[in-house]
Amino acid sequence: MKRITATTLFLAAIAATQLGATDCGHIIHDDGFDLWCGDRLCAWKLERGDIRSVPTWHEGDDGVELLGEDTAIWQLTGVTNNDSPCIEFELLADVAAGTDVVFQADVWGDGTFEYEQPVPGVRWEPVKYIFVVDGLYQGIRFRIAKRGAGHAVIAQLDARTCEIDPSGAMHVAAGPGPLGAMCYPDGDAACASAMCERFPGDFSPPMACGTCEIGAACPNGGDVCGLAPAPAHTLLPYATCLPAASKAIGEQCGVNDECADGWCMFGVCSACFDQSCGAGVACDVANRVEIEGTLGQLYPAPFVCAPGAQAGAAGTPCSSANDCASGQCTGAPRNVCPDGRACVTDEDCPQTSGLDHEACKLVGLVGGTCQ
Amino acid sequence: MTTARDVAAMIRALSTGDPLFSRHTVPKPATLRVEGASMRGSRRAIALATLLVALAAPAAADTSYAIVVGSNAGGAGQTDLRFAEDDARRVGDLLTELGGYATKDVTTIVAPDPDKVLAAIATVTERATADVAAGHATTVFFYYSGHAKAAALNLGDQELALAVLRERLLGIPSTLTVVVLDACQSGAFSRVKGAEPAADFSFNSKSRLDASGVAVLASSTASELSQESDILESSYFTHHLLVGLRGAADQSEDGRVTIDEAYRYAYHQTLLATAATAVGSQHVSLEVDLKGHGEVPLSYPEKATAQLELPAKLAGDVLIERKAAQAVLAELHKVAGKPVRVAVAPGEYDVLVRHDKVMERCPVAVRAGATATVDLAQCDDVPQVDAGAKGGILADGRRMTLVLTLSAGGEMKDEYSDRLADFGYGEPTLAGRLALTGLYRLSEHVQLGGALAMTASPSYHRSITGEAEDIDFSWTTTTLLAMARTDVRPAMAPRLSFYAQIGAGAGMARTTLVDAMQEKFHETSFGPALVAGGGLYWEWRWLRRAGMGLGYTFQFAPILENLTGDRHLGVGHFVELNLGYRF
Repeated sequence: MKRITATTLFLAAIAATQLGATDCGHIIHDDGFDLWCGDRLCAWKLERGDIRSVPTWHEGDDGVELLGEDTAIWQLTGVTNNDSPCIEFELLADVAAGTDVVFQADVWGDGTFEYEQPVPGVRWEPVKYIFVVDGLYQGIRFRIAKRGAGHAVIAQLDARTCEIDPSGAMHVAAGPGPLGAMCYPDGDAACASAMCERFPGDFSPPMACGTCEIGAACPNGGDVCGLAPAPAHTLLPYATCLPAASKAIGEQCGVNDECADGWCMFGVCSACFDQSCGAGVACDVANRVEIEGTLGQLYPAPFVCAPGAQAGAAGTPCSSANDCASGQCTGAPRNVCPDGRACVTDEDCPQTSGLDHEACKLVGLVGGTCQ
Repeated sequence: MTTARDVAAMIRALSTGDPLFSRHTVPKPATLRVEGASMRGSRRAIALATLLVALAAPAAADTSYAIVVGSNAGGAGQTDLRFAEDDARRVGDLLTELGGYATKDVTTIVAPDPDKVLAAIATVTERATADVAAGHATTVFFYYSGHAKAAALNLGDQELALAVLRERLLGIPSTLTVVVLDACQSGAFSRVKGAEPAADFSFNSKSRLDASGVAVLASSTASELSQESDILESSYFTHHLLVGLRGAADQSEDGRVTIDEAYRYAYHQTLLATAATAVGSQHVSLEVDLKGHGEVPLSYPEKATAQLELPAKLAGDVLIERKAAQAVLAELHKVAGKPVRVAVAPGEYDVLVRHDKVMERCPVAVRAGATATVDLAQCDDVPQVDAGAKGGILADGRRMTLVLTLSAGGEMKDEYSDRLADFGYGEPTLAGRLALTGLYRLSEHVQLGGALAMTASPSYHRSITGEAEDIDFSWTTTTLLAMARTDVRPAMAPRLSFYAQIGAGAGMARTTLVDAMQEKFHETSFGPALVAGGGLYWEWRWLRRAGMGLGYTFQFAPILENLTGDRHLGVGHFVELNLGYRF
């Protein structure tokens, strides 16, 4: 029962992060291209080509100039159908006549641009667009691309949700959900894979579009239907076939069989369960790192025997150095989001309201072994 | 223009040619001209005669009768006077208040005809005759203010021949007769009083007057004109005579004002007051035949219910104004050294003292039965109109004014602010303006100067989606302006002024943008600037020469320009608080 409860809590936390993310209706982070990390935009991804910061109406208010003949920048936002099906955006640009600049919207962020509009040759004149997304969706990737020569500076790309579905607006179909798309309440029909899977336990709602049925046999005999990492911060981890016992202690998991030590505790491959450590030895969470802004809620962490007791013998699974008698635990740094997914930076974590990303934190080690 | 040469002739007609008759025409401090002789000798003669007659003087007059006549109406070719009748009333009032005359014995006649005047004289004659029969001495006071010709008083379109008047006055069996003439004739500028010359006017008959004690006090000499004053609302002569009789003329400080003291006082004050007028100086003249009468008191200020004292150290031109009536009670020139007491009715007074180029207002409360002394420590400066200068410049010598202006308002939208909105900068709040203006008063209504003003724009903010920090943008516009201001002061509230002003110059705008990284960027631009506005300004009574006001300023300062070529017109409307100081 303990295992079920833990998994339930883990997945509920995941669900909570997918309820939509806007900043008072604004969707795009740094819609004014103000945040520069060196010569790159902090909140935008450079897909190809080159960009630079240039003054717009004032020396101190920069825009982004799309350099070269094939340049594109994009940003994947966490907006969902729960926020609004209606999206409007306003573009403020200085685009030389004849320059081929397009604005694109990729619902789900799966690489398919459902919406595309050319940016006309304007001199700091606002251009407004609006479209409606039909169906469930999680996340839209906005992209601005320039093809060919010409001057193009973008100063603003302010996208926001609309309160009312306006007449005459272009409608785009969200399409079936990709892997990792939340498929509640439509179920399998909402998934391109036709598999809307939920992990064991009495949790609700059912979760993400996956490629296998949890508990069912995988095509490869040595595989197990386990938990694959979320494809993007806007999506969820999903069920897929992967080699059994292939995940080391500290990795995110959905079922016991995918973990090398045989225990998936609270969505994290662990070294023990309940009384498995033997009489008088506690099996408990190894690293206690609180999630900021919560009442004592912890980042998911593996369970180990006698955590912090410096009792682990050489070769014993560990999550931190003080789990080992030797004081040495070797393994890879374990950076995770509050929902347990592995991350490198905050941008890998789901967004919350205000367009912030949850914090990616170092919580112990992955694949740790006492020396 | 008519001279008052014949006033003197009239005086002579009503006076005596007795050797002791003294004609005080120019009582200068050191010498007085008396029939071409030195006044020093004459004074000695007067003093000696006074001593002698005092020793042999009969008992003081038991009864005093007064006939005061005022006639504003002019005859053919004469402009009506404005204050002659009022002067007559004031003379009558003073005689009962301070002269010892019973009200029933003072006959005041305004807008008269000859019959009324002669009837009044006849009545007094009858009563004086009865008094004499009863062994009482009598004094008769006759005052006339109005137009006159050489041979007659002008009572509107009627005339009273001076021969008849003289005959009737001399016919009164009085112990002493005092005749005061403030005769006048119209003048183009200031309603000149006087009498037309007449070659055949010759009433200077010694034989007809030498049997009586007669004193004739006239408003001007034979070669001069008499004048009314709009400010005093009286003739200069009568005004100063009354002020003197109220105590200002009491040089001996014995509580009485004699005819000689009244004359000397009226002479000096009238001369001072008329010296700068367009008509010219006016010398009061006195011809007396007071043999056997000693000093003749005309008023007894000591008997007044209340007195106002000008302290010894006060010096300058003094104006005593009764607050309730807003009327000038007295105007006099006070020299330092001796206090001067003026009999007044109890009440609140303002004593205006002008010395050098400063005018001060000293409030005084005079209570019944007491003497209130002007407390110079309570005086404060007031703006002063220099009547001697064309245009009435405020001439207390402080023509510079510094004004600190604090304003709040807003600037109108234009292409510049629209651009800010396009770039996501939010609606601003109020703008502020601070200005320091220096003004030099050229005339009563015109001031020129300059202003240094700084307008602080409202702060524009643009949020960065997903970030806590904002981008802040603001600017300051500094302008240097040449200013011109015109103002007016209502007569009822001289400390209050209403002004309108304009200014033009150049300015510099400096923008400040703080970006998301908290880095500051500045841009500077230059351009013209215009302002216009108006308001009201009030100088505080309790804080000398400092004042405050409320106003409105319209600003046009097309200075600011952005990189996209949009120009901010700087059209703003500001409500302002002004704090000023005049020096």
